[in-house]
Amino acid sequence: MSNFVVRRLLSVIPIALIVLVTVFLLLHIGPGDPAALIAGENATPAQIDQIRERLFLDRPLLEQLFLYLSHVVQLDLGQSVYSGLPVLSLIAQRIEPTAVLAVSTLILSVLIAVPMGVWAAWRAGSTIDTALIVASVLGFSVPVFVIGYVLVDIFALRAGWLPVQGYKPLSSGLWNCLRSIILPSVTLSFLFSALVARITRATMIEVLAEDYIRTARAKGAGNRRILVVHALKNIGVPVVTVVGTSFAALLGGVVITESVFNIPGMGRLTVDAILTRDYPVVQGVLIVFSFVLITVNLLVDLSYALFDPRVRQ
Amino acid sequence: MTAQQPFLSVRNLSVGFGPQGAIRAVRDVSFDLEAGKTLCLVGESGSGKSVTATSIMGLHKPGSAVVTADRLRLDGVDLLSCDEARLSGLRGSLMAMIFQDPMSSLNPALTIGFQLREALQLHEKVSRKAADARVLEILQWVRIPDAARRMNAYPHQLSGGMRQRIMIAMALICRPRLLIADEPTTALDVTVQAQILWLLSELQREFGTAIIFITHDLGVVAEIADDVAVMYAGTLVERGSVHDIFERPSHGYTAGLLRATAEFVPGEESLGRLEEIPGNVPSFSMLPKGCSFVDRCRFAAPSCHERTPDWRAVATGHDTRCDQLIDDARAASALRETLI
Amino acid sequence: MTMSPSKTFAAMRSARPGLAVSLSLLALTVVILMAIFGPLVLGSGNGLNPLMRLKPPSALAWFGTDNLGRDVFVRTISGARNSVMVGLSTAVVVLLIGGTLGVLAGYFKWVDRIVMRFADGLMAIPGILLAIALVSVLGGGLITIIIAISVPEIPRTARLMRSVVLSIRELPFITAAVSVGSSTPKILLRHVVPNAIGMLSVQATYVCAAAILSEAALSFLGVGTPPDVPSWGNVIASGKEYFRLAPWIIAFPGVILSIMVLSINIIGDRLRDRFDPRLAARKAS
Repeated sequence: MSNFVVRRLLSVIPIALIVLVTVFLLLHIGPGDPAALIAGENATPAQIDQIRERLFLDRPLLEQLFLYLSHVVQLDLGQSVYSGLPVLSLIAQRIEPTAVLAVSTLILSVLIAVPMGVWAAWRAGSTIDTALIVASVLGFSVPVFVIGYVLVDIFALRAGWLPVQGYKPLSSGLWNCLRSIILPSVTLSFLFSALVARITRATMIEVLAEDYIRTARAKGAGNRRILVVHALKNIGVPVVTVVGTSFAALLGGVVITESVFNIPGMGRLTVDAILTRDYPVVQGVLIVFSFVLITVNLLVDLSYALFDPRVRQ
Repeated sequence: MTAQQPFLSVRNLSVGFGPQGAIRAVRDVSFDLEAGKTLCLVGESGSGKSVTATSIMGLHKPGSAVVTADRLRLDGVDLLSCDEARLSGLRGSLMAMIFQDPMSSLNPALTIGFQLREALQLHEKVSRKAADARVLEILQWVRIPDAARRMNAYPHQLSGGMRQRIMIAMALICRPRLLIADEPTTALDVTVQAQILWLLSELQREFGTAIIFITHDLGVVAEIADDVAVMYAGTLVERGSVHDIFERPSHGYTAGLLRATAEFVPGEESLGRLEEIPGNVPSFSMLPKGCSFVDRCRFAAPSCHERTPDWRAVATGHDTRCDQLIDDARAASALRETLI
Repeated sequence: MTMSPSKTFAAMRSARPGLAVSLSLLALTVVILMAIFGPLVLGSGNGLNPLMRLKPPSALAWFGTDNLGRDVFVRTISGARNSVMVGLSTAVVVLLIGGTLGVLAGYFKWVDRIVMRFADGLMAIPGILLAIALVSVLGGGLITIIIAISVPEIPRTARLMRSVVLSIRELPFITAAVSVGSSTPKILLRHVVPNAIGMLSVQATYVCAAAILSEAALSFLGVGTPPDVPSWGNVIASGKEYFRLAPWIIAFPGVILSIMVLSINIIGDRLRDRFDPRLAARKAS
């Protein structure tokens, strides 16, 4: 078991390295001069040179990579070209709304998707089941921003129950914050729940057809016990897996949702940085998002040991 | 001996699948079983043996099968009139079932101990400590070595033979009076098979459990059966004690089955020719008029095509649904000769 | 609640696929026809008409007009062409590169080790963000959009095809081919690939749907196709600021986009029911 944990932890290193190298290379794979790219169209040659020096773009590629990696390891993500502020502090400023949105969406989605998926599997072939299948396919087919605007239209513009946009930080009170996050969260939950519910349902149907469920019934176990004690644990691995793999989609959706609802989080930061060609910020955001994703997937893999005893060997 | 009610009494059990139960997989199956005895239900794949067993236990998914019978009584309990809650209570306590594949029949996410305790605690109010003691006891009974440690093991850590013993232990922990074993040894290799069979007969002797043993292997039948019921294409064709069936088979199908089993005679060079039964089992929607075995039977006469024979007594406790082998004395004695 | 596997699958299939698939195919055909012929008949819809700005849907402009007086319906139709093209091109690129890598990784251990490491690494970066970054570095234009959307999808497809090939490898006829002395390229081409084509087509539909959504998302954020190139994402993006005044700018293209993606996904699901070899391998074991 500890063997498994150690191996999994170690495997993070090459992945993290590939991420860092990829992010680093982004600047250099374009056709033009990276410094000119950052400086913009209206920059003078002098400005371009200045940038080239500041960002070490005049050094050999490998040296740049080494410098870059050593900085990242020391948690130095460089400075914003636009504002001069350290990238890390820019990110720290914007991280709360994004984190709150992501976490609340995750919790809301799982609380909806897993029970619905289990219920639909139990009643496979019935109207409830068909309804869930339809809802799921809609959930990951309709774009996040379309859902967002529909919800804003109904619940904010017409009913006036919830704010149209903006974000109230946690410091202004929990309820205040939640109120501003409900619509964005629900919007994003459509996508996430759809992905999770589908897998939950499919896995549950498979499990319910297994021989050991028949054995449990032959022992005299009732429906509720079969569902909760025998079936649920066996869907753990695929369900947790899909939560992990869908997390990337969640993070992508967060970026879009922040745009729809004008939430000043990391998504907005990224888009603004792209539009101002502030590449250090772009790189920094990519790194942070990626490391969050790596961590989530690590936790997912480690959780397998909870569900599947065969993993514990 | 006063005529008592048989321990298990089945009359005209029929099971249909599909829309309105139109596909009749089991038709008018009737048999009795005495307490503490072993009945072997014999037939090839698709003959309806498993469906019959599943119907007794009431294990069909609700709505998937139409089960009718004139009588289905076990130890005085009318199983037909039981609702699902009642049946649930009876399963594991009065009647238990073990299945063919021990690999997949145990929950991989739960320990052996947990699953065994559950089998007990679903029916008896016992403390955790008492339950563990009972579990240990039954594990030792089924000859699981190092039982105390094994209780915390998971199914994937055990061999196939051990898993089947665990299944038997799970089935018997509440001392049910009826055990239905659906081809429990088919998936195991021969040496393990012998151990399991021995174990079952030991347990029957100890606990007095009646056993319905479903199999297609006549060797197994010879070893453990008290009574035999032969099934073909969804109905019973012959019933009797194990001696009756082996010494005086009275149905074309039973005869075919026996002839298809090689017998090793010491001193003889070759085993002789294995005779197969020609043709295939008919599909349920295209049963021949008359006796369902008629197209494959070597004793078939014109009358066999006309109507399905009724049950006829060959001797006390030995019935058959074949006219030929009773009426035609010549055919019957010729058959006996080939089997000696 | 025991259900035999065969009954389960029957239940899953009969959850009205006939109706859904038929409607989807119909919708797709309509959209594709619109995409091909629409701009020829109606023009690109870029004509500005300041007098007619922000008018609600009417007989003159079925989907209303946007802030520059452009007919939203016409723009949606011409957007269809670009969006669908991006979708199809991405699918082709991803399948060629990702599919090949996946098949090779499934068959050769050493390829597997290298490729899957990189795939894991690349998949650790959220797709949209990687696409955004690539667009910003490579510049605008449809080609770079296609590249930017393809790159994040390649690892996922490679992973899928790898697992498909792994399960095909276990099937008896492959062992038979090897034992007869068939050469590896031959086995790959004759046996493995034909059996993988089914799942390839399934993956093609999902990638296509994802690409259309990605393009729309990128354009919505303002970092996708250049504003002068009509695409569904662009049309919707132009309606962002005017949402309260003129919701139709977002609504109608949004619905068309959703229907398109929905149809593709439904067809993809149906194909998967038919083709997933992992289901077949499980049934056979």
